Formats: sequence, C-alpha cells, structure tokens
Amino acid sequence: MNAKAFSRVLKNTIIVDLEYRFNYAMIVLSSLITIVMEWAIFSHVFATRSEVGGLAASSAFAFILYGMLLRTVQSLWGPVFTSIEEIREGGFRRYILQPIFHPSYFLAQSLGNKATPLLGATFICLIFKSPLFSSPDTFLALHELPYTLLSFALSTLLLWGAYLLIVYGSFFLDESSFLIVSLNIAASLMSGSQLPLSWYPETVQKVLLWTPLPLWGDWPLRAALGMLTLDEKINYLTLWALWATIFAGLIVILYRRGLQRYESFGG
Amino acid sequence: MNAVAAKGLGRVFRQRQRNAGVSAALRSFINPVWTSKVAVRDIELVIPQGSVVGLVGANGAGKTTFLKMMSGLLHPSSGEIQVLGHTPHLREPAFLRRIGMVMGQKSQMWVDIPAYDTFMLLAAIYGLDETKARARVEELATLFGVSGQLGVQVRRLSLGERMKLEVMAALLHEPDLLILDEPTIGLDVLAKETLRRFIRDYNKEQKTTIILSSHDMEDISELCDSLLVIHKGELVFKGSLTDFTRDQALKSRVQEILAGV
Repeated sequence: MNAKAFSRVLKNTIIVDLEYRFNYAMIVLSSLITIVMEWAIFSHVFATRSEVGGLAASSAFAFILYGMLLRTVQSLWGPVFTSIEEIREGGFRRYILQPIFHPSYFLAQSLGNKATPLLGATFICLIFKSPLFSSPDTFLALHELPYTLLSFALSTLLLWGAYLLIVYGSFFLDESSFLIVSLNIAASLMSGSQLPLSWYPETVQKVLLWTPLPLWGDWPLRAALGMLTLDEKINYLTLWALWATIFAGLIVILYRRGLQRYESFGG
Repeated sequence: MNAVAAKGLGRVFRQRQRNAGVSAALRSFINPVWTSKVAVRDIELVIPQGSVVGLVGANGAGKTTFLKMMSGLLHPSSGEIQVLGHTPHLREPAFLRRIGMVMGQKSQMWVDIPAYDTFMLLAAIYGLDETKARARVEELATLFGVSGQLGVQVRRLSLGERMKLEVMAALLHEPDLLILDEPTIGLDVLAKETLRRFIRDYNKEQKTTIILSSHDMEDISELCDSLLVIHKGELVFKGSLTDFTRDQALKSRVQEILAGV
C-alpha cells in the first residue's frame, strides 16, 4: 500500500472517530477513574514505606500517569473487532479485491483510531504533571525522552502485532474475539503497565521474561522513569527485535494461509 | 481477446453439520461431523472482452461462488481460471487494478463517513491522480444523480443511493472488467432503471466487459448480449441471449429453475 493510501486510511479513521463525539467524554472519564483507583492502591502500598520493589513513592504518581498513557495508546478495540467481524461475515472481501496489503491498512486504521484518545490522555497527563499535583522532578528527564518515545512506539507496535495475529486467527478459528479479551487482560495485568513487575513474585517474573509481556509495559514505563541501565536498554531492544521478527513472520504466514482458506461468506 | 477463460473450474466447501439443540451442539463439540458441498462443478467457458454477460440461477446455484473465483476472492478447488490474462487468486496488483466488483449484499464503502472520503481513499489506493479522481467522482455522481449525497454519511442514505455509490466506487479506477453480483437487489423500479441505463451506456462507451448476476430476468434481457445459466453448480446453458429467447423449452426450464422448482 502506498504512502498516500496509508495516510488516507489514517485520515478517514480520524474522521470516523470525530463523528462520534460522545466517545471522547467516555475515554476521558474512564482514564480519570483508572487514575483515581490506581492512586488509591498506590497510596495504600506506600503508606508505610518510601520504596517498594525498586519504585520510589515519589515516582509512583508518574508511573500511574505513564501507565495510563501507555495503555490508552496500546489498547485496540475498534479496528480489531471490526476486522474479526469482517472475516467472519464476509466484509473482509473489500481488502482482497483492492490492491492493498491488509497489515498496512490495519496499522493505518490503528494509528488513526488512537490519534484522538492519545491527545486526551496526553492532556490529562499534562494537567496532573503540573506542580499543583506533584513534584516535577519525579517525571521524565529530557535526555531520557528519545529512548522513552522509541520504547513507547515499539512496544505499541508489538502489541498491535499480537492483536493482528489474533485477527488472522479468525480465518482458522471462525471466532477469536475471546482471545482479544485475554490479551487485553494479560497486557494490562502481567506486563507491568498497571503494577510494576518488580512487585510480582520472582518465579512469575522469571516466567514472564520468556514472553513478550514485559515489552508491553515494564520496558517503556521503566524507560520513562529513568530506571533502565544502558545494558538493560540494549537488551530490551534486542528482545524487541527478536519478538518483532517472530510476530512479523507469523502475521505474513497467517495472512497468506488465511486468504487461501477464506470463504467470503454472505452472498 | 478473452476476458475470462475457465477450464474444469470447481469449488467445494467444507461444512460442519449438526442437528439443532444443546445435546447436538455438545456432541458436535466433542465429535464434529464435516461434510463437503460442491458449490461449482467443472465449469468451462470463455467470455470475450467487451461483452455484457448475464449469469442466472436460483439461490445457492453457485453464481456468487463462481464470481468470487473470477475476482480472486476464492481459491478454486479444481480446474483453472484466467481473467484478463491473470490467475485471479494470486491477487497480483496489476490484476486488481483492472477489475471492479459490486456485491449487492456487501458494501465496500466506509459507512460512517461521507462517500466522498471513501472515493478519495480508493483514488489513493489505485494510485489515481487526485484532481482527475475528483473530476471523475463528480462526473459519475452527476450521471447517477447522487451529487447531493456525496457529503452525507453513507449509512444515512437509502439502499438505492448506496448501490449507486457502490457502482461508482467500483468504476472509479476505470476497470476493464466489472463484476456485478445482484446489483439491483432491493431497488425500486426507478433506481433499477437508472442503474441499467448507466450500465448499458457505460459498456457502449468504454467497452468494459461486464458480468452481471441477477434474479431479475429484466436486468438480463435489457443489458446482456449473452447468458450463462447455472444450476446446482453446473453450467446448463451458455450462449447468446437471442438463442436463449428463441428456445422456448429452455426459457421455461430457466424460469422453473429461478422459481426453485
């Protein structure tokens, strides 16, 4: 798919989002509720201690905000469920009939779908980041910004790759929406984006290292909090490259084999 | 030159069978029973470029399956098909740029945004010049009488208006082959007539090959110069519309087939 078509899909997705203004109120509301709930949990945890599992009390609020921002960017519902439904009901045919590569189309849709919620989440972060709510020195240092942005972007891409794998799973399973829910729960609870992974039992942490889960939360958030050493930064990038290669290979295989099986139901 | 050439073309679907009810669902969960359904069997045909071909048959006869194999949506289970010199299911971009397809039951428009935005997306996908694409959209919209609807969310439009937009979307990149699967389904008399007139004129002017499937014999008799009749997956008639009209016995048989007798 050419760059012009990519940007058109992105623009059209933003236009669709703008048609439904009420959704923004809900996004802002749910983000605020999450922040309040997490703040309540973290206040309880840090009531008697100044540091838990490597996370200082002063950084806790920054962790909550960045975690919210990360989950807002990463979680995908619209394009994922739409694509699954299109495969199940025959609507996927429009992508097959046009000279496009669906994974690129899906990426453009996902970026468009996240453009406006990202603005909302950034706005909330900026409000809470003000000295009124917490001390500015607990937040991201400027020299950490490039690596942090890179880790946020790569981490999000990898998770969207996992979503796409599940979408293409519909070619073989008929129904794969339940896997999306499982992935969202895992990405939220087991990646370190809701609670720091260092708070989990050591055995769990060891098992998680064999999965891409830490790349979806622990990596970008620890980067944002300036908690990564240079070695860790390089290790995470290597790990990301490994999982990204595996995911990309699987996506291409599932997509090609899926199209061969596709029965294009529904008249 | 031929637009379509099929040899021994067939397609079999695998279907899961079970009786109604919870216990049958449980049995099927543990021990699913699969059956094969032959949707299209051993089709041999040649369609010359520039012709308008009608495809008729009862529900489930295999018309849509055949059209889907022609467009590359489905892989054939047996035989081969060449469309505009390409193997459709390989989905070569050069092939996809030369075909357009309208399926009466499924939309290729983005229903939540105005049609104009979808057209501009299609123009980008097919690599059309934006200024020329805008001019073409306006020209087609004028021909179809939907200029006033281009800025309205597609889902808010009537079925007839939507169908006209679907045809416009399929024609935007000026394909050499246009496949229309029941394009007049659900349309009122006036909308049908507008669509037919457009298809007729378009074929005359552009010499585009058009393959039209329909339950409505009026669509066929007004538009097509040759006819394919498909029954239970097999091609039971292929020939000119004149031959078909002369053969009273065949005509009655086709009417019975369409009526599901």
